[in-house]
Amino acid sequence: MKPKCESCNSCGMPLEKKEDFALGDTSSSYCQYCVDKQGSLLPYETILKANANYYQESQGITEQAANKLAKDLLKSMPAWKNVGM
Amino acid sequence: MEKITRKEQKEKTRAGLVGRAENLFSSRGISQTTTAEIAKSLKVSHGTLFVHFPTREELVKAVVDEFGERLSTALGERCAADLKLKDLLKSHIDVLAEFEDFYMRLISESQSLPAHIRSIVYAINASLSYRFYRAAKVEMDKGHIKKMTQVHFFNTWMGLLHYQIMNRDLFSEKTPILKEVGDDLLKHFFYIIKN
Repeated sequence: MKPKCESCNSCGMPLEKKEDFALGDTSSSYCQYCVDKQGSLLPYETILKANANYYQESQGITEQAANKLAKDLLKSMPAWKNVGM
Repeated sequence: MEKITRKEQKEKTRAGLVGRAENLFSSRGISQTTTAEIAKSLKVSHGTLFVHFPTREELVKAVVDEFGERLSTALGERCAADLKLKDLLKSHIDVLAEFEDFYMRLISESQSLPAHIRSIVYAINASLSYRFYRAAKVEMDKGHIKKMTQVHFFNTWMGLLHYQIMNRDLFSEKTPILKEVGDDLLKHFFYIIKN
């Protein structure tokens, strides 16, 4: 069985290529979208909003539904366990 | 005979559980299949299953992750090679055909899936939507296909696929249905969107 591919500890995005990682650093646990210019993890609310937008813009679902999906996704992520419950 | 290490044995058991779970979820339904049934059909103890998957949801997630990774590999490689929209959509059909029995359960049970699982399924869809639309934009800018929003583009494509999958017993006696009608659907989709 092939080893499970790495994914961002904040949003779950698959980390397949070097540029997917935060600041292009393959030892990072986060993706390029979840960190600031210094490589620090962005605040929960920012990540939540970005993920909700991602759901909404890609599939046309309502803001409320998108927010719920984003919350449900983030609450199991290592970076956000016990946050935003 | 080569000696199997404990780690290899553990991985083998885990893969066996995920594979059997996928089979049973596909044939009986995701919410209708218990972890006890999965363990029993593999002749492993319920305790062994829980060592690998402490909750039922984690086992469902493992199967969804396999599906997501398969899609990501198929479409990621295509993206890297910078292939055209048609190739991406063809790859999508191929992976859905491979997972069709399970995928039909995922979409038909969508509203009763655990919230976290549902959020992963729609995150996979969001990723597909972006990948497809990125390739579609190239064709739109060249005037090959009609200009339309990402939502309309993606939902039209998914609508075509899902209608066939959800009613596949009426459209063909063979499964996967996408193997039967995939080429025709793709051709029709391009007929709809072409300029």
